[in-house]
Amino acid sequence: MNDRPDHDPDQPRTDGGVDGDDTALAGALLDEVPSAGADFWARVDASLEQIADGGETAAPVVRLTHMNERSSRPSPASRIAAVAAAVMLIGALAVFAFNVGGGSTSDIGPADESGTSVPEVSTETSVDPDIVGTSVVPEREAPVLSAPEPDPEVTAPENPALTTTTTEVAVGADPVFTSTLIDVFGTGGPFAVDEFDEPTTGPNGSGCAPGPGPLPDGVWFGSLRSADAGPPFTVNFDLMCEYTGENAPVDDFEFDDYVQNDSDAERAVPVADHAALYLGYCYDDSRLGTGEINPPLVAVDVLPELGDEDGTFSRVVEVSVWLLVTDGEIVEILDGWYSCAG
Amino acid sequence: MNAPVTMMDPVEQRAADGHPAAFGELLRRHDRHARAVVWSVVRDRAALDDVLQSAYEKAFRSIDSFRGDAAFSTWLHSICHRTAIDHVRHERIRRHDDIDDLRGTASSSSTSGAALARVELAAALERLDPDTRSMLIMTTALDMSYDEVAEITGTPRGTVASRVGRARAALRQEFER
Repeated sequence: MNDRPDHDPDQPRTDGGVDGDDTALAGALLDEVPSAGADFWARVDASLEQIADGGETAAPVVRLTHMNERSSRPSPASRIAAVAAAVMLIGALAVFAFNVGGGSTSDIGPADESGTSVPEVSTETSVDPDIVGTSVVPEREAPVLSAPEPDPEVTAPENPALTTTTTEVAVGADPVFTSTLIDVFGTGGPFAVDEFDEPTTGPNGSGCAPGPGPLPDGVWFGSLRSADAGPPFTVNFDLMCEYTGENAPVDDFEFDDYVQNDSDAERAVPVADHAALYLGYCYDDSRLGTGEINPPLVAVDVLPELGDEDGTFSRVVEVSVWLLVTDGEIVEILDGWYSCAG
Repeated sequence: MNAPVTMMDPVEQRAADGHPAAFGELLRRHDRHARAVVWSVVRDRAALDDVLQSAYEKAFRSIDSFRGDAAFSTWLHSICHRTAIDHVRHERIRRHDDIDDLRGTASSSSTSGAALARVELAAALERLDPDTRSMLIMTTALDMSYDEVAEITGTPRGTVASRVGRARAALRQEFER
């Protein structure tokens, strides 16, 4: 393994690869890789034949909606106009808040790639030690700090390093802003995608708050398990608790966040009549070397066609979402993704 | 499945044209390393074959994206790595029971020192995050360059180098203990 012509065996490798000292380690690492199961290649060959014979030739792409067909979405021009109106509104609100409140305009997010100002999650630290969980609650009338009452029976695990916080989302007062939120976030189409900034100041979701019962208004993380076309159109949602950075109750966790699911219980959450729920993307394996999440994909499937006959999402491994709940109903998927495998 | 191809050997060419048998042959050529890439991330014997099969199917479906301007192995490993990461992302609540059981079994029986070392090595690997673990195994066990690993994982070369360096040092200590 140590045969690269540019490598001096007396010098440490600087290009990766195996140093002499690592030979034993390399062997041990390879030795511990399990070999293929007895029928592995038979299964692989069969699936390749099936794909070649016209079986599924592309990873499934998912759209979740129950009423707004793409053709009924606003035209690009109207979307641009709506975004522009929202930007102007945000700017006006920012100036107003600055002048009246003597504060800063830091609640207004930076320009996105299209030059459009987008809302950014801002944070303030609460001193209430009893609040163990926080939801992010955009208020339509005015920016308001809000956190659901924690259920005494459902609390976050003890974590001395946990920062108790309340998260505020800067949102314009005009409902127009909310109605254009998808367009603002989905620069490549009418999708809510990864421009959404996940809250970074504390636990969000079940296990922290809100306890059993209907989902309070706010932004919640979890998995969509199934759907019922209704009426009313309802999705069954498994709330989870997401921690980021130092808020996590463990030191060693994967990726940028730590997800804890204290309960597999599903909540039936109705979807607002005016909502169109889009899952932005799956991970596109055909893009090499970037590791980036794919931009919004063209959607092809409509619920309940997405699910099996029983409404479950067996075609996708997992559907993870950040839901925006207003007046007890889902009005938007702020961020949603699923496995391309399925 | 007709892809513009360059610099391919005949089997790769046939695979790129969508012939399943040729693609299967390529997979068999590269399976050992691809398996190691997936294993480095997944660390779950029960899931390994399924994740690998899923990755192979994805690769075949997206064969159009293989144009021969990168090595087939790099292209395949990238898909395997991403599939494995995707799997783990959805299995985030890690279970360490398996490795604990393994350690208990090894220490409670008259297991050889080498077997115990393997168990400790596995435990040490388990403590690494999946990305770092896969980078370490790709460089240390599969002899890939930092540039290759950077391309496969979509991580800057410098990040790969520093993470591998730290992991390698930590693992050496465990292994030589």
